[in-house]
Amino acid sequence: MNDTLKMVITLTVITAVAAAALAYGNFVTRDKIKAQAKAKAARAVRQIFPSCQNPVEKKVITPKGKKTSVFLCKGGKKAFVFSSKSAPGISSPYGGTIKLMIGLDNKDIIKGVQVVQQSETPGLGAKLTEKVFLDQFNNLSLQKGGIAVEKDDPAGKIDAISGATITSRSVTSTVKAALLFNSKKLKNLTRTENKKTRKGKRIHRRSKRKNNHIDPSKFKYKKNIQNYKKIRKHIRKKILNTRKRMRRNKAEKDGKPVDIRKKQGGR
Amino acid sequence: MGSSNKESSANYLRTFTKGFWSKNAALVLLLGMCPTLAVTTSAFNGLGMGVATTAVLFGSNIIISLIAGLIPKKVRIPAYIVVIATLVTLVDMFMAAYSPELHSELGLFIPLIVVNCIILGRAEAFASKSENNVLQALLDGLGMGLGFALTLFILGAIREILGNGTITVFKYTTTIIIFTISHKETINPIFVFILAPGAFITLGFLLGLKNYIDNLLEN
Repeated sequence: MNDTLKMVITLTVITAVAAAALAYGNFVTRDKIKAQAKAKAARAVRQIFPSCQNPVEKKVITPKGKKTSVFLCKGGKKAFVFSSKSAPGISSPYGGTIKLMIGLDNKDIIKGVQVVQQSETPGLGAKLTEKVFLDQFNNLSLQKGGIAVEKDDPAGKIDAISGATITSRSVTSTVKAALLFNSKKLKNLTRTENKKTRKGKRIHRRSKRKNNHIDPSKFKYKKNIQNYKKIRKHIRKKILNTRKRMRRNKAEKDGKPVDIRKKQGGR
Repeated sequence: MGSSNKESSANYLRTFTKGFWSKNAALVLLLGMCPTLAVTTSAFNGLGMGVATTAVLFGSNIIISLIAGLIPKKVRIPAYIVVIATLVTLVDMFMAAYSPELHSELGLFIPLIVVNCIILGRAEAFASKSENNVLQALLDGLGMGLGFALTLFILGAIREILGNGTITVFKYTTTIIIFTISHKETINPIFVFILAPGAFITLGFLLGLKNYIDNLLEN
């Protein structure tokens, strides 16, 4: 009995110390690892577009419902991360997931492909990171075609890595799926700098008006109480109008007519 | 006093050097065959795996030598595994935070170290023995690890030269030295050496070579 207790206590102490050490290690390195991952992505963008010094990062949802990053550069250039698990129908790699950074210009022509993450066989599939293989994708696009492995499709322009056809096929189909995703989802993304333009400002003002509440402190400096009352009345009317409109919209959605005035009772 | 000092320092030296030849982990004890066969597709991968193993072996031997007296015999294996797994995870985290390039090259192999028999083997057969002190455990870990690293490097170099026609020693993408000798244009590589059977064939020849040299030395 005493022996058993000693065993339990020893193991508990050891695992507790180990857990504390791991928690401390995680606490120290967590932010650094995140920052490194971000810096790595930014480096991959710069390898594709050397002139793009401060890309704007935006999050988008991939066809499989996961988040991914799009880096927008000046002149309509963009680079985004797309993995072999981002969309259905991509042929799987030999091991794990392949994550690519794909750079496109404003006409959706590939300007560069970089590997962000891979766990292919060293010496065989791991050669997908080599320039000779990745440079084959440059200047291809959906319109031009040819994004297929030569072995599978006579029109394909991608020469597979010898001994790693599965890896090559996976990279190629990932690139193709990424281009399809781009043409469907990434067309209207713009850099945040656009918010500073007039159009952006207007949107901003409108959203403020939607708030519909009145802050008396803002009118303190206005001695004219008449003016204050006028504003109040105006805003009350606006609120009522909005409610009316919302009710109408809802009624349209539900497909049944609603008597607006009746529901408005009490006001 | 002087003679016993000399004797003990010779003993320490032997503890360190035995990992390289007489008790080489990969060639004599035949421990850690999984990393030996699986990751030695290039000289750099072999070296990286070897160095990472050395780091963990060094740490685990010291810690286990210190705590071995406190652990009841029946639960020593789980206790050692917890220590080793903690060390490996810490090495993995710190490497990812402070040296992401090395981590991206070695990241695949690091979790493999937990189940590497060499580390548990040395903990069980050497570091936990009461007749060996901490300094001896430290030297044993270092010597065994470096001997293993050297063997993996040689195995990886042979496989890479024969199977791929290249030899890569430092493979850092941007910062340090890129040193690759390539004869791809002139030599047709023997592809099988990169694949799994090539690992067995090369290891077999290395074992044979070592035994041959040992026999020569004996006569």
